Amino acid sequence: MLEVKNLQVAYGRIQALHDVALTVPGGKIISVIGSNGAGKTTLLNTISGLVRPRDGQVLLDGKALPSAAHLTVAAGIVQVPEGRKVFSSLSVDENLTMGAYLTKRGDSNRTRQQVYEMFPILKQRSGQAAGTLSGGEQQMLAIGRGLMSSPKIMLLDEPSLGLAPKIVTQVFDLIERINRSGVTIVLVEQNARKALAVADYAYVLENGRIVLEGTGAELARNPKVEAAYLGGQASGA
Amino acid sequence: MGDSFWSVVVQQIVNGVSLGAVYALIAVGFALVFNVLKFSNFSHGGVLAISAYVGYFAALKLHLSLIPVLLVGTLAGGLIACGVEFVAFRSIRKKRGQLVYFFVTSVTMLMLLEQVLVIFFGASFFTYPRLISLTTLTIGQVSISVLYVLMMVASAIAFGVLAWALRFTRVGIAIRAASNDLITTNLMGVNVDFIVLATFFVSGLLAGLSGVLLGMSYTLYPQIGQLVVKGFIASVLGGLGSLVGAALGALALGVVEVLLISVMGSGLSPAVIFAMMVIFLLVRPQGFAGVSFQEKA
Repeated sequence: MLEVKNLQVAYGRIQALHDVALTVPGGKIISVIGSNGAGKTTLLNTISGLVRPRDGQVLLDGKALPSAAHLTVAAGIVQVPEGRKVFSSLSVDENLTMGAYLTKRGDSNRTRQQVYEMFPILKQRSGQAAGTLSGGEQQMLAIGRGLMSSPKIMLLDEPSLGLAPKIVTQVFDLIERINRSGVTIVLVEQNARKALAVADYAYVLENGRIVLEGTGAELARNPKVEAAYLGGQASGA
Repeated sequence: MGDSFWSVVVQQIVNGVSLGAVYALIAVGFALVFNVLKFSNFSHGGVLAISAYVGYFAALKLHLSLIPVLLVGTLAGGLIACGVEFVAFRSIRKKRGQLVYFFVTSVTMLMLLEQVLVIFFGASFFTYPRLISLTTLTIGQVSISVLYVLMMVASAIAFGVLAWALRFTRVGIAIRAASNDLITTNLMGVNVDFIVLATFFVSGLLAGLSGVLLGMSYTLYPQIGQLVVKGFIASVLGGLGSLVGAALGALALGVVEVLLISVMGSGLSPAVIFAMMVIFLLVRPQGFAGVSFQEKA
């Protein structure tokens, strides 16, 4: 279980997160929705150890997480960053190797097989530079690369960003599949409808504060959420 | 245009390639750090210079032979570069300083390392003891000195090892990943402090090797490190960001330089080279090999 307690994060004098608290029970999908600039990426980067909080705690199974990003991965939390961030000049296979940087070779070979079974397209393109993949394929690779560390918890930052609707559906199916295989998911999304549909529990982040929380279904029915995050999309998507 | 003209041209090209092979060592070492931290690291020249002196004293005082001298100078370069990273660049990186701070610090470090050499050894010139035969090999009408053969062979071996390490070792792949995106590399569980240090080490090895080779082919003086400018030009020509481009740029630079010197002498040729660099960058700002992949939004 991952717990975030009264987290305060600031960049210089600009406070990005105010007293953010959330609980991520093992095996669940937790979504955090909010508009651009609400602080969603900052939240994930703080959990990942890229950003140091001014105050507050991030606890994994009751213990404070290390404050360096590479140690967070060793603790079992991996982030799939916004905008995929695949290593564009490395081959698909080398990207997976990077995902398994901390894993013993024997274990990583087994995981690699599993990732290739999950994403046959990546296997076909294993020798190709990752920068030549399509946006959807790059997202698959970014997720596959994240799986290579055999994480307990996967943090996904805007996995649907910039993808065609059909691919978005595939990505969300995939997230549920990964969750069923035992990986806890923290999903940060602007695509509120999809994010609430897959979520066991969800939070709404606005200007760096949690303003609402509830099960995915509850929030999807909430009139405020509907007006602010779902209304526009009903006509749009 | 008789045979003799062409044999002179071929001769100059061979000489240019030999010189370019050493420039390539400088350029690739320079580009390695540029790729990861995105600044032009002129302290590379200082590392080169000190390594050249280390090689010189290893030969003179310890009476080491050619191969050990090359190895000692190469290793010295790696270690000195690590020291420079640790002392000069690490704290800027930790404070997320702007790129211009890195750049200014690197120039300062170049001057500082030069002055260290002046303090200890004076501004005078030294000549490496003779480590290899001064004879030349003759193939057809082209003759090539054993030193030039050594420069080409040593560079080829260094690049072979480098290519292998970057392709097949975990740290090597991580250095390439860091060249793409340092933060995401960190998110993979990679300790970026270590990877940056490793990058400086590898870059310093190349500086060390090039320093000894240049020390052997020229005389040794504290400002020998300013030859880093050749590596800079080459990596810009090759397209900043590409190691292969930097190496190709260096070979081209070596050949052009030797040909120009034979035509117009060594006074004018640097000006012409800079003019060519400016024109080249206007025509093809991404360099020879400057293809960059785009992340798809």
